Amino acid sequence: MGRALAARNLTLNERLDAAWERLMAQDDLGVIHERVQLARERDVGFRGAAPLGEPVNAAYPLPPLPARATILAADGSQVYPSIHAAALYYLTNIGVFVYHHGTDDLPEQITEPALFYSEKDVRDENGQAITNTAVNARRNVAELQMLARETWNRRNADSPLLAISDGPLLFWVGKDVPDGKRLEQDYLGALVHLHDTHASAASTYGQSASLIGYVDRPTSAFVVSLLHLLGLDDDDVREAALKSNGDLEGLADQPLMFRLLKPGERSAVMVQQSPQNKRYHDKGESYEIAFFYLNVGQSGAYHLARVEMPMWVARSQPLLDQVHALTFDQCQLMWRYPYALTRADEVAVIRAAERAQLDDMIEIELLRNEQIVERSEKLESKTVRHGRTRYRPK
Amino acid sequence: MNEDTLQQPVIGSVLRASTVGFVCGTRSQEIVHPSFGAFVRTRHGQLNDIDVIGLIHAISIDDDPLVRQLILANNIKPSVERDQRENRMVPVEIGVVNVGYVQVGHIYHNLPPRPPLSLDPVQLCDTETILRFTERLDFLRLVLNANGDFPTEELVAAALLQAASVRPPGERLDFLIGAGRRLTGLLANDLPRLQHVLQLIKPG
Repeated sequence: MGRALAARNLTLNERLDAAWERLMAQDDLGVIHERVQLARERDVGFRGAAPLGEPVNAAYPLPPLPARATILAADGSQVYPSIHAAALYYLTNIGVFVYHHGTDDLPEQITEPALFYSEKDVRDENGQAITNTAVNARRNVAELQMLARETWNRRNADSPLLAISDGPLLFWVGKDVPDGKRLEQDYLGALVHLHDTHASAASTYGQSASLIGYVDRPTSAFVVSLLHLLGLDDDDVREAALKSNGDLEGLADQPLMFRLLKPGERSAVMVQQSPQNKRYHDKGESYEIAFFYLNVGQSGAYHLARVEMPMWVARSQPLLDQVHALTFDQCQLMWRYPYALTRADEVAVIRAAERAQLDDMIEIELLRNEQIVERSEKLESKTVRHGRTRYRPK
Repeated sequence: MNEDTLQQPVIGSVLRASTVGFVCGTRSQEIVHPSFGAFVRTRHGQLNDIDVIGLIHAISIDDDPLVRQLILANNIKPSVERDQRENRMVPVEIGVVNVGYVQVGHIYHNLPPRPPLSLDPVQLCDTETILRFTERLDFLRLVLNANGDFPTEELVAAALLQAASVRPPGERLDFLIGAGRRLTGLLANDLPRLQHVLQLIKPG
């Protein structure tokens, strides 16, 4: 295994050298934009990055940290529906953590649990129990809605607002999610709510509200895909040639960015080309999602994050600088990961013991209402095998 | 229970217990009051009629991965410190060795017949309870013979110094001399231990 991994790293290093050489040669933004435009016109399924307005082969230094800011982070957890449980239900718990940067104020923590058990919530149109993917999608929407609501409630703060969501900002649902279309609309609605907060904070209080999606250790290859596109002749810009990254296939952006970015530095702001992002753009130019890579490591150590943001943030240099500096500062508090997100996760998490407690409470309520509690034999056998005992009221 | 006892700060709640001792859990910002060797008492609920009296022999803070990361980052800001201490349920445990109990207003210098119950509140003893309890020093034998993983001589000394400090200044020396005499009897066969504990309670 060691020999195989060493051999793979060798070839990856060769690809990295080739990609690096190609990246360093990209001095002309006009040429890049023309090539991306050509791929768009031919609709060849290009899924790489397009630079917004900054050279892609440069690193952008850490800007000064704002004196004060209110940072809100949201995360969620869930109990998935189980057909083996006494009742079909699912639970989501959303946590929002509010950190007052630049003050000694006590941070705030807010949680919002929600229990879903009605037929319309737990079954699809065919009467089947909804999938875990559906619960994840609904939880994602609830996270952004709660983040938007809590940010709106603080729009009169005398400092900039930064809302941090866990993971990518582009929301996508599969076909197994029964109310997918509505969820997508609700998600976009929450984005609009955050943008309204920015507009209100700016016009009434002279402040701002930014949103980011924080992706830790990204495995994306958006820049590598762009370099592959730029390495093709015009005639070769075809779907077949873009199905892979050609001689750079298998290489991710991460090692390339490690060469480019010192701790605290970010990459150029770029936009990922995808149908989902186009839908966001169609909703309004402010909602298209852009990103930059950020090296959040400390003094010589490398740790990469992808920071995604809507266009109302990406197109504003002051907001971009705030996002850059505050995100890096958050990561320095917590050794390479935003403190506010860590705490939001901690506030939201539902532990196994808490889930067991909830199951017991549900069974007790069913018995109180003279319902017969039937748990599947499969689950009972697991309880016996694992030596767990359960209290059952008479 | 008198008014002073009710006003004493609650330092935590019973987490686990036996007849020889108990552990109470608390949040980290609430560990300002208790100290090693302090007299504490549980406050019984409806299911029990016994208030256990004990001595704090250990205060420990459990390992916490988040705190480890903060230490590693070496960039702890006051707001983060407040968040950790006031918002998070950082598990702080206070270990107590039982030395007596109160039942229907009477103080007994012996192990309680039943342990306190989970979640019973734990308070620092008020001056009057310490004075009444230390009128007799039978608890010294219990502590010196305890099998717990704690320094018994230091615990005895800390408890005696606290008991002396709640007395009027003119009575403190006499109290400590009396305690020294009692210890001499209890540790007559172990002179190094006796010498150590007498050194610890020696005034001035």
